[in-house]
Amino acid sequence: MDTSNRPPLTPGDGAPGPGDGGPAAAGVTELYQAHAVGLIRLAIVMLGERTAAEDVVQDAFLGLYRHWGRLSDPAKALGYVRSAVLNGCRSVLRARGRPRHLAAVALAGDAVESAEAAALVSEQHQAVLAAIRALPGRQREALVMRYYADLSEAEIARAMGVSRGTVKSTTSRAVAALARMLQEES
Amino acid sequence: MNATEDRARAAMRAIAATVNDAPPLELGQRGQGAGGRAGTGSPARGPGRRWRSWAAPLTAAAVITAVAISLVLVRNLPGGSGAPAGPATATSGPAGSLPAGVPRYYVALKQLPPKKSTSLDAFQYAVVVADSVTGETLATFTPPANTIFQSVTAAADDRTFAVLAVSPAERFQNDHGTVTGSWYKLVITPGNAGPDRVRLTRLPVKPWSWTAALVVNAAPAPGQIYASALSASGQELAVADVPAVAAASKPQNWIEVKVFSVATGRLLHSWTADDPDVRLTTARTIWQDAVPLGATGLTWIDGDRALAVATSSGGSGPVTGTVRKLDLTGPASGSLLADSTVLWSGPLSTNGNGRGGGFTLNDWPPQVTADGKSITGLSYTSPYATPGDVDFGTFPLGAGTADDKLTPVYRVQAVIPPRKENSQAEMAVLWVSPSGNTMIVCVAVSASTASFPQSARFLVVSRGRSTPLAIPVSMVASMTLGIAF
Repeated sequence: MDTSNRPPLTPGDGAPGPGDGGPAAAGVTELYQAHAVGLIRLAIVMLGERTAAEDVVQDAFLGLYRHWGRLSDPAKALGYVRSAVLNGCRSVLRARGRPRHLAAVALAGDAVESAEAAALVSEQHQAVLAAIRALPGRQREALVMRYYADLSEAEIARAMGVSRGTVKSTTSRAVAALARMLQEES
Repeated sequence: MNATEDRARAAMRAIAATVNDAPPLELGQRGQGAGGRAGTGSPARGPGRRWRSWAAPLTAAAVITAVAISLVLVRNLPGGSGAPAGPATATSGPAGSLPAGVPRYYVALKQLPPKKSTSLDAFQYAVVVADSVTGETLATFTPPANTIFQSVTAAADDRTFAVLAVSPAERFQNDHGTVTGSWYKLVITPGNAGPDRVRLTRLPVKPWSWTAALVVNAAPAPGQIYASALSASGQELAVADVPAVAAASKPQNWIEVKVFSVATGRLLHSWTADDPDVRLTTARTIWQDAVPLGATGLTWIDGDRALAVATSSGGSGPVTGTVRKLDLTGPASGSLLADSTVLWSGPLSTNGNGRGGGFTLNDWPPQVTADGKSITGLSYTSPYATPGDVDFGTFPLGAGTADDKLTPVYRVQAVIPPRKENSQAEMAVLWVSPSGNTMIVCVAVSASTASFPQSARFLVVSRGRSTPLAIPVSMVASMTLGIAF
């Protein structure tokens, strides 16, 4: 995607209401520069579409910006954003799952990205990714965080808002379901 | 780590590796509301943000002015080859009149304003009954407690509709548990006043249940409802679902078509098939498989004497679309494959390359005309071109392949400024006349693939002429399944 025509961010640039101006923008920008690519990767694994992944991450950082003043511990900001990205992915997936069926024409950019991404991923991987996206939402999240993001059970539990035991059982069920689907496809 | 975990990890890393950079952060633009892109739902606002973005006229207006969709007349109809290469002058009929035979009333699912306390808010719909000429709302029905309206289907009289509802809503939306589908009959009597003008009553069809899952394309559950269609007379309801049989170890390969009496709820017909190449799943792309409840896979044809069933093949390779005809004058039950005849079968392309370049996955299943002789479709000059032309047209059935025989009825030209690289136009055929020469279509524009449309036009297109309909953008929420004419 060509993003060259987007204006660069400067600290305090257009800071809206609840944010506290310069420090918030600077803090969020620093975090974005350090983790945006990784979080977009996490989102594209969940969603399979780059534009949607970028939007989810942008929204997550915007949410952090708006609530920066209420963040009790800045060290927890990354965890907050990661949870927000997962929430955003859930929203997108739910929106896709709702009864709305349209022929969509990407006017520019995003579909090219998706097509290019698909071209770069082998058919074998695409089949696995399709199966992963066929998992129930929580199973998919647990699987992605465990086997893609390499997060610990405790970190996954915090991100998903569930207990470690639930993470363990959910991940186990996800792997079993995935194995069944891949076996059926083969 | 076992082999499945290895495969999952490798596949996820492969798709992640396609991302090597991030766009600049847009705190200022997004935070100001007007003029900013619609978001995908921030944690601060929750799921209701989507609805609020629609309800903010200033924000929507800003987007509308940035993304221009011009409607361009296709001349020299009905011959598709006569379509002009360049834009022509748009021709619109006056609002307030409709071509003969076009239904005036519609029933739509309109997203309800969110309540702050529950995560279900973004997915609750009211049933709205309205006049597409005057814009008048005749009635609005909120769903029963813990119930979600899912789809609408119409008879041919422009007065009788059926609405599919699922309950309990919490289980359906939280991806697990047993849910139950049931139907309501909606009848409009324009001459009546008060509550007798529009009546919504429970159909006597016995509800049935299945295990809910949000993303169910690969593993639908026995009993799950795929589609429902009210007959032209309004006397019968056809339902496509996964049969609740023990043998359905691969339920994604099973489909069942049932026909019920609307008056008594009695089961009149039942056909089943167990074939991986006969699926009612809506295979949009490899990333966006979905099984929306109420997909437009069933159409009554030939004066209610037959059903057209549109299916597609499964798997990750090339997808084939097929339209079959089920004759209701034959046996009451049996094999869907043996008891049907194939009207058309052909490849579905993953995108619309070239004018008349084949049916796309995004466009499947299609609207089938009531005479059973054609299906509607869209074709694009190129989905990535600026400007990009999109033709609404029909493909004849039963005479070889439909790939290269699109007869355009109308053309939309999407023009977008280069700075709005994420914008997307979504198009759909919502209704088609029995002969296929008149359609009700919608063109909606979103700021990104992850946001709801900010603008939409509903049009009657017929013989190169368009007539705008008085339908608000909020009715786009769940089309094409959530609006019926």
